[in-house]
Amino acid sequence: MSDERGGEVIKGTLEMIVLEVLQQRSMHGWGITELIERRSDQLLSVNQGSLYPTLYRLVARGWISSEWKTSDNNRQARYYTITRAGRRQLAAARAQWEKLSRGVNLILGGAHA
Amino acid sequence: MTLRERWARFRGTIRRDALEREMNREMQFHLDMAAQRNAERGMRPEMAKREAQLAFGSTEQFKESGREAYRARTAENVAADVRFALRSMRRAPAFTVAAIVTVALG
Repeated sequence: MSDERGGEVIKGTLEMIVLEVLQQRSMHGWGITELIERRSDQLLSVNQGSLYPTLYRLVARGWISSEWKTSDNNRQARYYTITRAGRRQLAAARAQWEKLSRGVNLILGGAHA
Repeated sequence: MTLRERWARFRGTIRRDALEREMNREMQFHLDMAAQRNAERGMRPEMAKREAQLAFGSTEQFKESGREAYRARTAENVAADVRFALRSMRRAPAFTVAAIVTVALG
């Protein structure tokens, strides 16, 4: 991807982002890719080599489920849906992320000792 | 191989084949959508398809991750079944002994 983008989303963070995106509605992998790019104002790009492994991992952990449905353009696609356990995981991951980013920002923005 | 073992093997194969087929279908859908977006952004058809494939990355890596997740899921189920069996056996030892003896004799 081009250099203007912020860069690829790191694995654990990608799991959290995917759960967040699926919180509102079920989507197929391509839809998830596009939505992440759009909602992040093109700052984030999804490394497609990581997206499906992430989705499959989330399914294996029971945080999302999948089923085949007909897409908007009348094709068969695998749609992913967040589960109740997935919503709990999302809440936990967000709390962790907020702590982490707050900590980092404090260090970056703090007065020089 | 007993009939039961042959049947278990057969069912395993069926599920694995279905998994491979589904992964192919999922990947193809993604590639087609990506190529379509590329074309809408002005790329010529062959370029659009090639870019989509490049962006998608290694097909093998994609499929291997699916197989891994499938194996993890399966292993989890077996572990859960074993735990359940152990709990049941602890609760009804006499029945368990009878069952084991019956199976051994059968």
